[in-house]
Amino acid sequence: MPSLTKRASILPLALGLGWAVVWATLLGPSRALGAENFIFYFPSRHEALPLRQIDQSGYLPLEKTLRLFGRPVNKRERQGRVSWRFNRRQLEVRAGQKRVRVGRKRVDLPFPVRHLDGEWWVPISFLTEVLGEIIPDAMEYHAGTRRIFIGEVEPNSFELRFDSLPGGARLTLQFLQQTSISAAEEEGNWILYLGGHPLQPPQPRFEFSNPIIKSLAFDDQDGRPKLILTPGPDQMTLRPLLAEGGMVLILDVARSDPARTAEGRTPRAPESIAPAPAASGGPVVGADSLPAVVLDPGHGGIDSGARGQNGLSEKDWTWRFTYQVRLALIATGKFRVVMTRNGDQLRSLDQRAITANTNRGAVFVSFHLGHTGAGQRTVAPYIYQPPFGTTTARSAGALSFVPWEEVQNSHLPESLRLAQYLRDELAAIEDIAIREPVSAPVRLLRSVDSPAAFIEVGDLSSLEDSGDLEDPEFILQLAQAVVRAIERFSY
Amino acid sequence: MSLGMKILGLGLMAVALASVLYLRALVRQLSEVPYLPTAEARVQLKESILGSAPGEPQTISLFFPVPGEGMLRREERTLTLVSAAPDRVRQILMALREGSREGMEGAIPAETQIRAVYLAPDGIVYVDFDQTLERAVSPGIRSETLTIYAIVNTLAVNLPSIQQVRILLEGREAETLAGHADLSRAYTPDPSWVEPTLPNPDR
Ligand SMILES: [Zn+2]
Repeated sequence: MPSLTKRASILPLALGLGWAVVWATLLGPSRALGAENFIFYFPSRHEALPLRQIDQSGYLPLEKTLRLFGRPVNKRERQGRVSWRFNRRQLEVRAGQKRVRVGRKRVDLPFPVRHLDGEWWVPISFLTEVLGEIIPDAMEYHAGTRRIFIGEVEPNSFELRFDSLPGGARLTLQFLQQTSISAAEEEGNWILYLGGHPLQPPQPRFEFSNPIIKSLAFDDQDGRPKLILTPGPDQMTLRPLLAEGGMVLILDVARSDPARTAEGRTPRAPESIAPAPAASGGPVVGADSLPAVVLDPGHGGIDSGARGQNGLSEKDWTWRFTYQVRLALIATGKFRVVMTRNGDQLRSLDQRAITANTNRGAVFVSFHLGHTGAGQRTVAPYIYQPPFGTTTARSAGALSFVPWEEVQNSHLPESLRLAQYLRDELAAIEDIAIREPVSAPVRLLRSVDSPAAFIEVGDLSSLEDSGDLEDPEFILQLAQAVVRAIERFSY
Repeated sequence: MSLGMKILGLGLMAVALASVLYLRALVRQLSEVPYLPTAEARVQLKESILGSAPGEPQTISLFFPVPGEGMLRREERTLTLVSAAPDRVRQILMALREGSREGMEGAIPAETQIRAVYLAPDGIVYVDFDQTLERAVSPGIRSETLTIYAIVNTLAVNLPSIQQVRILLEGREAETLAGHADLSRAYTPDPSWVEPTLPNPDR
């Protein structure tokens, strides 16, 4: 454990301003003496029972535990033993003994049953070793944790990354499932409530040897899954950002304006956890100042898009291809990348525009695969063609509202520049026919509040026949050309 | 039966007959054109001409997508246009649906039914297609846009009173034609989608 802690502190220093990636230290579950709870997550409810630490194990009150799962009847208590009829089985435990009788079977627990203050207590492993035999539902329990998942409950989890940034630090949490988050500030800590869905953290607590962030702990003792972020001793500002449709949580912590440090050590409450970062106020931290690129893999879910004769669907290809573009963009270290959908997910055209617009200043590129009838490799870049007679100039007044249907209009000159760069870079690929950028009534782009281009790769039939759509080299060439164009556009 | 009753009876019969005739006219206007396979689209077009008051034969322009290009090409036809304006719209759309005679791509899939045509006084024509249009057009921004502008340009070029075209699917305003091109707007003809008449050596 100490060596890991050292790595966490030395690496960022050694790499200076670089993107030091450090995995946080693993600490055992806390052994606090105070009152603790054990949480039972059922498919549509959760329950908490008091947990008692006795010697080496956590203990649960037996009768209350049974009542969560069914109705124990015919209780018989006499001289150091108790028994119930439960789920058509006879269950008997004895004080001070590890052996438990379940019907005709005998199960040995790792720790003895206790009878304290008029209540029967069993070690946590009673749940999986004994109760698992009696009730039909599957149980998921990780030793050392204080929660169990029963039946069809799929707990969320996350991976954590720590980045040291100039004047601050960033925690990036990549969730397994979509997450909704609300934030609060309590007693010098930031509390991030993770919605009602159960979560199994990779570990209960992450400690950092870092002046900016002290620790990140997971807690659901009151049945509300939450993260507790404890900042360093200075006055800090937190900017939380929920990205990629709730799959990624970015927590940027930075020292507040030094002049304000005198006010006290309370961290400033997060301004909002909304997908949109605050436009101003608080220092801009590290990677947040990187330009955002929003990538839109066309179609998804029940919307397959165009279909090939051999069963290929547009949505699958656009997902695979866009993912390549994403990887290549991230590899440059120059961009923050946001995708408009997570895997095979149905999202409306307006939802995609909203994702783009919550990442202000972003470049937006949508990828499609179509029957272009060309009989060869073609790429056609498009920009938005507004309806005839709509104004394309945005009035200068800061408070003028732009109708949702006309949001893209004022970006069209920049969108055209983006489309031209895409055309130039894609034209360098061998054996490819490329069209000049065209203005078309692309509904998707209508409400995107940033420079936006739409790419149609074709011809689906001939590319499917030639195997080009599966050819990693062709896909890589396309992706790299897109990345070069975005780099040229942004820098 | 009194004379009064007889007159009343005759009057009622006349009203009934008139309403039947009126309803028939209405039905002709509103009902779907019966389904006909591709090859019979032309026959249907001829019948619609024969069934209406004939005028002088005229040359009309139709626009079809050039294969593999993002452009439309003009093709001419000689057609005897009927006098009623909504029927004329229908007639021209049928000619477009019949397809190219010069090897161009189809603009409107041949199985598509034109459910209704409505000319608004402000120069907007509403054309209501059945869902075949959405299903049969191949999804993609190129093909959808070319289908839309083939319809819009063809109608506007041949019927000068038409300023804009609004395309409906199954009587309803759709967000897109088949996932890409906007259908929530009225379209103004756009000559930039049409190939220049002189062959361009670059293309
Ligand atoms: Zn598409």
